[in-house]
Amino acid sequence: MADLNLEKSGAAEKNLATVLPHSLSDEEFEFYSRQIVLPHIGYDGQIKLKHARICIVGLGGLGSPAALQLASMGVGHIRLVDHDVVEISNLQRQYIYSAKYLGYPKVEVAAKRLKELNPNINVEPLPLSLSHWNAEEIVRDMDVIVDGLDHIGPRRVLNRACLKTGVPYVYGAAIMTFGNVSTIIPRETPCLECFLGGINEDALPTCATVGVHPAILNIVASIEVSEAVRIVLGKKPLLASKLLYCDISEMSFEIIQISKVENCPVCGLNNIDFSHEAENIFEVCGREGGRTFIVTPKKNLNLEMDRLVNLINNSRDFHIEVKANLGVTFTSKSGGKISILKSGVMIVANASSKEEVHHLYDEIVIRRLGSSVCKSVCKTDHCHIPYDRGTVANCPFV
Amino acid sequence: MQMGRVEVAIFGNLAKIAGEKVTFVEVLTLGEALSALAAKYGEVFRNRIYDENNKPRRFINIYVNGKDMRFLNGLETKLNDSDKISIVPAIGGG
Repeated sequence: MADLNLEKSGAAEKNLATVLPHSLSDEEFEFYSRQIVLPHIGYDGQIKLKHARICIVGLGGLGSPAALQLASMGVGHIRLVDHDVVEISNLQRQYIYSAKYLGYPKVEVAAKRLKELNPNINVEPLPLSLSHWNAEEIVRDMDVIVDGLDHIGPRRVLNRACLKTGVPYVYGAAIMTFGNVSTIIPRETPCLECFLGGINEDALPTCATVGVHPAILNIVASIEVSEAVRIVLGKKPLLASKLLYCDISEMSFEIIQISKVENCPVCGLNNIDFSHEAENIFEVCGREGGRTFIVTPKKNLNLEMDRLVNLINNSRDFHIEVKANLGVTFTSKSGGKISILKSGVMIVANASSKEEVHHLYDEIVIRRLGSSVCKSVCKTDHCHIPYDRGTVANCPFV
Repeated sequence: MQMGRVEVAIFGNLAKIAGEKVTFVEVLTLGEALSALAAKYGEVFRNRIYDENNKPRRFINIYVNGKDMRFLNGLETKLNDSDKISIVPAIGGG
């Protein structure tokens, strides 16, 4: 069982940026020399990249190649958001990970890899589920958001958060051999709801059912990076008010003009609300032949990982497979595989039902970690909910 | 009322089923345009764009001059000469 410790990584972290913030060190100059000579980047553009803050939401098929490119281009601060752990089926296309990191939190592995690639940059891994509870906070202080999500629901949440905070959002999506990209500039271009809002998510195929070609993921991610970099450099993005539709089975790349709509329920009517309740527990693509659920607490619980690991180690019902800084993965006697991230997100593979997952979360995170969880978020002197009936769904604070 | 000669661009697997990416129809409304396409391209195409209630399936985006038909008048949207319809299967993965 290997630990993954960002602080003590084998790649020594050198502080290469010892010069003034508006210049590059000799080493940085050499590092980025092959793009500094590009007319549309140049030295000044490289400085802008160094000062840029970009958030990648979702570190899967799109997010992971985008992260590698943005890191190697020298984006000074990269925030990574993902609620999942590395699975074997990811490795076909998410090459930021490797087989030795199965079960590790994706953001932790990705952050380590990015820092090894480019020690000059800051990487901020957030093992969170994007939800309407935290989306605004996640995007607020960023220059641009790059889409690495794999469902439309969280994209809608992201769209709203970006509109509310005025942060540009580069939307990207891919399935089979098809890909989409569009750049959303709040208040200027169509927002996601303008051109994608009427879609019933349940009707869409997933990569688990119809597959996805790694090449289209890299193409879409690269175009997203190109758009994000244009925004950082102060240039007009080329896919603003446009939807790129690519199909590598025919090598076609077509642009659809899309329009902002005045009566859009999100950007048109200025109705950026989060009143609809997101589910705490939702089902995702199956893994290892079974159903998989993810539990998302309303707040970042900032769990004490050592305490959680001890609790699991001391239980006869569980066996730890992975112990990482930002999460732990273990198996249960019933054959389920469970991961709990530091934020309190729990992923359960091979579960029979949502109720089983709810019970498991209640048992481990709420009851056994109990007072420390409540204490970290409770705003009252004493909990008014009877402890033996405390559950994720009932607790107003978790 | 004069029918409009409208360009229709078809994307993704729908284009493969149709056997072409661009066609033209002379119709009054969006609904008529979709019906014309279904008649032209056959049952498989029809079943891809319409559900069992004969409504456009909710994984297909239909834009008229770049605007989602939901924000226009749906299938009753009037079409004019040189209007452009785009029929785009939604993509949600990543």
